[in-house]
Amino acid sequence: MNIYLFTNSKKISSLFSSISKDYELLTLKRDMYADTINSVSPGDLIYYDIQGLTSDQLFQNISDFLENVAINFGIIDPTSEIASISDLFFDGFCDYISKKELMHPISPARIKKVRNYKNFCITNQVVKNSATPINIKKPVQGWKSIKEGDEYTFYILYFRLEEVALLQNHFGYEFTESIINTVRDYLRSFFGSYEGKLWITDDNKALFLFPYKENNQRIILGIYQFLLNKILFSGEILKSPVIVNPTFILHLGNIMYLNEEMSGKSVSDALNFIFHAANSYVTAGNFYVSDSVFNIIPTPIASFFKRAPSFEGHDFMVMRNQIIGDKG
Amino acid sequence: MKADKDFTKLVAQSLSESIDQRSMVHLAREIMPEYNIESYSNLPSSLDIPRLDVARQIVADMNNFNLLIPFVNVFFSIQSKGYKGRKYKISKLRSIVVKLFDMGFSIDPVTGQVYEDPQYRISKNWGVLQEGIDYPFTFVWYDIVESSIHLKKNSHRDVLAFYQKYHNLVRSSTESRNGRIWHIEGDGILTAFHFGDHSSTALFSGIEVLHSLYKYNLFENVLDNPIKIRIGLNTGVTDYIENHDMLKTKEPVKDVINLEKISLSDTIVATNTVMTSVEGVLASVFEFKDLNKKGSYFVYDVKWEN
Repeated sequence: MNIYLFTNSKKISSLFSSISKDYELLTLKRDMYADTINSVSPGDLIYYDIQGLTSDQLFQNISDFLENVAINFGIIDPTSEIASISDLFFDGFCDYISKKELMHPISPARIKKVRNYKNFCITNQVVKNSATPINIKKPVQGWKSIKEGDEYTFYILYFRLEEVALLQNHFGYEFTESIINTVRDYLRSFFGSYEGKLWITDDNKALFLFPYKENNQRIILGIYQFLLNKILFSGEILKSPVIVNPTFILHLGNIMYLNEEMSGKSVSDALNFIFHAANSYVTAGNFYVSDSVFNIIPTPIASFFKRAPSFEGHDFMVMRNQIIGDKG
Repeated sequence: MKADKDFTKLVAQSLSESIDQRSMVHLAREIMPEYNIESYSNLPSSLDIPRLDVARQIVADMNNFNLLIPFVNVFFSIQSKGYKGRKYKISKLRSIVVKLFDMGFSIDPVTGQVYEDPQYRISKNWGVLQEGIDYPFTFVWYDIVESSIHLKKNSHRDVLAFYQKYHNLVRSSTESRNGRIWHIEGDGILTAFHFGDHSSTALFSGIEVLHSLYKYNLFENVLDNPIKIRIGLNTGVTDYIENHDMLKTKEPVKDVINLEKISLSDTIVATNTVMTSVEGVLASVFEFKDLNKKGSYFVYDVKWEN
């Protein structure tokens, strides 16, 4: 999580310096706000010093803040301009720093309380720019209630193991095959524990389906965990001489469910979209989430995601990659 | 542990069918340098004693001193490495191995050494290392950075809960890779790896602990500050000692503990001796760093793109 502090006051900047040990703190002049806001990621925290604003400017600024629902805002009010502090919180602000509180430095403990209070949710409103609103068809009892030939809403996870040709050239066809098979079997079992089913397999590519469930953050959490541990996975489980490089895309959409043998015959916009994205949009070796699933990015890892270019009417976010070895 | 009659009988038969009397006694002296077969038996030294009787006596003596498994390790090594310039083929090897598995032992695929299966028992010496004998180890030293700050700023209960979690985490990442916890003093934990590719398994266990604490800070930490850790690794040869308080006097252990003085928070620092035998993924994730006058080390930390 990054913390952005917009203030023109040196004193207020210095009061925040104690949190820079534990958090990424960016202190900027207030007039930098408009240029900066588009690069702020969901889950980040912005503190805005309102000292000296006219009431019109204040009203306008607060309205602007409320439009960025995925970002968390706190107000710094050194001259007690805000008439109703409670209204700020009702409107979704997550902190208010009063004149009295500015007598002391802002502590990491305060930021922690803010995080706990707001729980830093990326709200459903972020999904509003999704091109086609989804008519949710929830399988009530998960896989148990799914019947062939009926349409349901699924989280669709596309997976591709990258640099296969390179692996084949360096380590041979057989070894690469065994790596692909082990990765697939591992992911089948790994996502199986998250109710994911391996639905389509094609050499180094795979598609998993997870029946729709509200706020199912576990899928993204699972992929994050897998990527964090890809060194251990590559070295210990695969016994690979190199770190494997996977691409993931997660999207939510409706699919007519057919069994695994017939899965290639299922036609849906969501499937077309994810295959288009896989072939024409993604940069290999990244984890992308479409706007349809922004709302299930778990709060503690929201800052690991940054905005990516949109594609075929959908916004995307991409997870920051771990920098490994001398690439750092 | 003492072995049962079936096992001692099997080893004695195998011994007598695989190797001559004189070499049997020499093998026993690898384990007990002063071993003298006459002092433990009624076998007359002047007569030509049947080979099986000598084997039975040696196996019984080793068993009485709880040294039969280390003796089997030496015995097994004559097939892979030979003994005094000769190669031997061990008779009934398969039956002995099967019986060892039944008794709760495993065979190290790298060295062919017998050690206790951690599913059955977890002893600090893997059930086979002997006091006073030199062995190669990779040591890992874990140290929580500024641990006293956590005690000052948080409730005793929360800090205790964290330490319990931390100890369990180090234990599971160590013992699942056949390492052993040798010493715990507050936030400092010393673990040792001996069998297999012990440098690599020790490095993997360190990475697992670092990543798990990274995740712990994101999702579970209720303390006022993030948990920060320093992890150091060193490979070296030292004698096995039961008294673990004496461990800190051993050079490879002193060296691994001293790494905390030069390590940054949330990094793993490994010495050259660890990395010499490491290749593949691990070799690519550790960066060689010259830490000014403090020497050159290999460092891993978790970094993300902007």
